[in-house]
Formats: sequence, C-alpha cells, structure tokens
Amino acid sequence: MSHYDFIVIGAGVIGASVAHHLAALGAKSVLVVDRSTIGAGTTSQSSGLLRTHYSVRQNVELARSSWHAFNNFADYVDDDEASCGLVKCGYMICAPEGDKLAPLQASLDAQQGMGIEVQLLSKAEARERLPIAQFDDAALIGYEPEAGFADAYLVATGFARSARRRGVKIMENTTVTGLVRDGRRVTGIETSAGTFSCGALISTQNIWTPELAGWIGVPLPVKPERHTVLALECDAAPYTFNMPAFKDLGSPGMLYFRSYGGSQMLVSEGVVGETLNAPETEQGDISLDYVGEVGAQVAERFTAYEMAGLASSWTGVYDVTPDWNPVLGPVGDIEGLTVGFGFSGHGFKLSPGIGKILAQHALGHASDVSLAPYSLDRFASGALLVGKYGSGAVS
Amino acid sequence: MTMKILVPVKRVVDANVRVRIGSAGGVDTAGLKMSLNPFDECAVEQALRLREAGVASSVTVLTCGRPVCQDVLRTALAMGADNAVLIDTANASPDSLGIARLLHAFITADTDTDTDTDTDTDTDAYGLVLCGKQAIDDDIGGVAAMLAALLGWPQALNASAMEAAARGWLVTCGDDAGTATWRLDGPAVVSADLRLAEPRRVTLPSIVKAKQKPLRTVDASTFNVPLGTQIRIVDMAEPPVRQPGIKVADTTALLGAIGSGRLFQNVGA
Repeated sequence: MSHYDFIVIGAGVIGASVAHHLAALGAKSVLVVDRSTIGAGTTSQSSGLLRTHYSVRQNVELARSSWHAFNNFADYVDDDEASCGLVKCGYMICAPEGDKLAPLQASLDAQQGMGIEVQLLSKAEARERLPIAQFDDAALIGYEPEAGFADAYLVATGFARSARRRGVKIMENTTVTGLVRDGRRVTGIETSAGTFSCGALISTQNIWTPELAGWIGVPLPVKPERHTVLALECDAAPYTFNMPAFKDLGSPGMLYFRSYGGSQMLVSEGVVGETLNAPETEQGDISLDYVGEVGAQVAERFTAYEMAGLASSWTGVYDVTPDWNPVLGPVGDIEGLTVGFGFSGHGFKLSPGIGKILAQHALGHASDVSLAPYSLDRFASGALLVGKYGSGAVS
Repeated sequence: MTMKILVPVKRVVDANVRVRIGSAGGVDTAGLKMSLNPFDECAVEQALRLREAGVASSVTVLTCGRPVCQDVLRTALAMGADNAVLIDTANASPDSLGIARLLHAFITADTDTDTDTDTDTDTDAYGLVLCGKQAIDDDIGGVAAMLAALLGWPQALNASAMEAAARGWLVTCGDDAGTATWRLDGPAVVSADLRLAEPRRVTLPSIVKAKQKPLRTVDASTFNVPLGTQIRIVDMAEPPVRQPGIKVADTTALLGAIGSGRLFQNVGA
C-alpha cells in the first residue's frame, strides 16, 4: 500500500489549487485522485467571473488575495507558459431604489474601507463603460476596475501542472469508494485503483461531498443545484471584451452578464436554481419558455437585445450550502481530515485563496484568512454567513 | 398553385450530453437536455429557405411522440415554421416503419381533406417531405426511405444541396466516394445531411411569436397504423473504457509498437 503525507480528493479548480499550494508550501508527498479528469466536473461549467464584491467580509478578503493570483498567474504558479485566460474588463454592479440599495451601499463602503478600489459611477459614466445598457432606474452604480473574468478550466489545469512539476501525483479516472479509519483518525482512502494511506486527507469533493458524509457518518449540508447559462447574440449591440462584467441587482433574476468570445453576451440568473436529487454535471434541459423569460429581463436593461438570437445555452451545477457560503476546515472531532465544499457558485473566484488556506490548515500552519467563520459548526450554532442580498451567488 | 413542405422532426437527447444506461436498462434521459435532432434542424432551415424563395407556401413541422415532444416543435416554430403537428403516440414506441406509416397516413389524410371544406382551409398539398438523414439517438436513418416507398414518391437521401427545378427538385447527395445530383420529378422525399443548410438562430422575438402559431395534436390511433415495434433490444452496454496509452522510449520502439498493434490492418482498398 502506497503512502502519501497528503491526499486530496477532487482535481477541480479547488482541489488542484490545494495540491499546488501544498507543494508550494513544502509538502513532499501529495496524491490527488479524481473520479474523472482534471477540471472536467463543475469547474468546466464555471462562468469564470472574478470580483471582490461581496457582502460577507471574509469573502472579500479571500477574493482579494485570489485576484492577486489571477492577475499574476504565470508568476503565481512560477510557469511562464501558464495562463488563466484573464480578461480584465472590470466589474459593474447596479441597484435601483428598493431593498437591494442599502446592501449594495454597505458592500461598496466595506470594500473601500478595506482599501479596494471601487468607483461610484453616474449613469452617464456607466453608459460610457457599458454603452449597450441603459441605467434609467439605477440609484447606485459601483465599478471595480480590478476585476473581470477568467477560464476556470485553464486555472485548474494550470494549478495541476504546477503541482505535478513540484512532485504531486495526480490520478485521474480514479473513484474513491471509502475511507480507512483508525478510531477518530482518517488514515487513508480506498479507491478503484487500490488503497492509499495518508497522514492527512483533504476533501474537495464539491457536489459529491455527500459521499464523504456517508463515509464519516456526519451530515454535511450541501445540495447540487443546476443553473442555466445563455449566450445571446445581437449584431446591433455586441458585448465586447472591453465592456465590464455586469451585475443587475434590479432584475428579478439578479442577472449577471459578461462578454462571451468578444461579441456575444453570456447571461445567467443569480438566484436559486433547480435542486437535483443526485450529484451530476450532465447538461440539463433548457426550455424555450425559460430562454424567453430571461431574454425579456435582459431586454429591460440591454434594449437592443430585444431582437437577440440564442447562440448557445448550457447548464452548470453549484454545490450549495444553506447560507450559500463554503465550509472550510475540520469536521467535528475527526482527525486528519480537512474539508472544502459548498462553494455555492462562487468558488472559482476564491479558488487560489481557498486552496492556500486549506493547504495551510492541513500543514498545521496559521492560515492567511481565518477558517473559523467558515466552520461546519455554524449551521448548529446559527452563526451563518448569509449574504445581504439573500440567497444567491453574490454572498 | 404552390405547395406545402412537411418537415418530420424528432426530439433527441442533446448532442453535448453523455448518455448513460439507466437502472431500467434503457438510455436514461430524465432531466437531461433535449433538443431538436441536428439533422432535422438543417431540414427545417432548408424548408424555410424554400418558402422564403417563394417555392413553397408554408412549412409544417411534425413529430410523433408523447406531449413532451411539443418542445422541439416550438423550437422549429421559433425558427420560422408556420404550423406544427404532434401525432401523439402516448406510450407506444413505434419503430422506423411505424413512424413512416404514420407520416404516410398523415400526408394522405391531409391531401384527401384538402378537397373538402374541413378545418384545413389552404388548398396546397404537400409537395416535399424534408427531414434529417437520421436521428442522433438511434442513428437508424430509415424513415425517409420507407416513407418514400409508401408514398410512391422519388427520394434523395443525405442531401447536401438542393434547389427547385421545373417539375420538381435537383438534389445533390454524396458521401466520401463522391457526389451525385438527382432530378426528382413531382412531390419527393429528401433527407438532409448537416451541409444542406446551416440552421438559423432562434431569436427572442421569434420565441414569443412561436407561442401564437398553431400547434395541433392528433391522436395516433386515428390513423389505424400498427404502432408496435419489430425491433427487439437484446442487450445494451456502455462502451468499453478506453485503455491508457503507453510511453515509448524512441522511434524504433514506436514503430515496433505500431507494428505489433496491427493498426493499419484495415487501411487501404
């Protein structure tokens, strides 16, 4: 039986980031196992938005340290050829009069208080940056220049390549079937490719986390939720790469937007999606009625898109917790186990920071950002990390 | 008098979905993305172009299946088809011949009622059946040829180009061995390959407009066509898992490995 000091379950963007950071922080013997291939699960379905705008302060911290990694990705993984596909187009968020206005003001204030550059734009300034939209109803418009979007699959493979270069072994198409325990301590994993022992186990199993819950007999509150993304095409109003990603708190679906391929519009709802009975990443059904409903919302803000065509559509799955924020750290009194799950649709933008603090925790180091607010216990104690915008991936 | 075009379509699991065998032994599509069969999309597009060129007066899309299959009819209506028909087969799963017989019965009945003052007020008859060359789920590709035989109409399969001719159609068909252009006189059955016409995008206004277009449901039993299947599925299995590759040290070892794998056994005529 092979032994590794650290075993990571899952080679999505979080698991790959954990593996990179473990090795970069000095871990000598690391194994990563994935049921499929690197970044092929929910990672590959990410819309890739990068921003530090959050209503939960800890998330701002993690997003800020992660942005640094994205913005200097080749340096960060020490590989001249590495790229995260960053499009640094900025991020604009707007709210009309109503219940979203005060939370937006508070979140923008908090970001500024933390030294993050956030500009408040007039309607005219907003139109200058995003001329294909109208802002007649906007009561408050915030703009972060240090934001945009990147490619989650590239980041996962970039971290994985860095990890491998540093000696990490990554086994793809290897399914974990159970844990090896010694009393309260996790000492290894059983897989479709044999049993491996470890000093510490890090689970980044995303929507498959309930499997872990079964192995350890501890309920872990996470549900797979399917979300739909549309790519719209409107020749009269192309959404170019120099137009910012945009969050419309005034739309019923709290829509987010970004350029797709430099001319199309990627749009998706930022509210609760369709809960699945079982974890799976297969493409879900998208009805024409749904396209029509979202399209009508889009056309309210982007009037030319009234005539838009549907270029493509797909679905992605979130691992959602009751408060739409991740669980990071140990589980109860189980020794040798660190978990990271429940990223609730905003894991990618935090992935470098989360990979680092999970690695630090597994190594017994002090972590850059405290794990305490993200502990599993919060669901019992009631100290939830509920975002001020309600349920949804802004948190 | 011009003519109408009938485009029979099929609702299939989306091309981007990896299908799996469910616990019941068949392909499990519950909750998965379903789409208009891509070859049928090309057929719809070609039909719309012929209508827009004034060759046809209207385009009818038709599918055989359960009521849930109406969603692909709505997609075709949103693309621009004029009206749609669902032949509701309820729980029956007719095979290719069953579908061809239903289509034959539908076309025959429609032609008959055109002389009456039935609900159908237009006087044009179907002068062309345009469908995909095969459905991407079962890949059989049998319906077009069977329907042509039942109707006694000329057929051209796997069409990559077509145009209206004096008394019918000029249709270019082909495969790797070359192409041939056929002249089909009178009403005809043509099946489309992906080259025939690049499908247009559904637009937001057309989605709204499609809701107002007529979508008629006809009970399959009214056609007195046997809906059983003559096909028996003996077994269904996942494709074998691909084995990992091997690493070789140098070119000599590579040539040896290729030779021992008998990779070129079936190459060449």
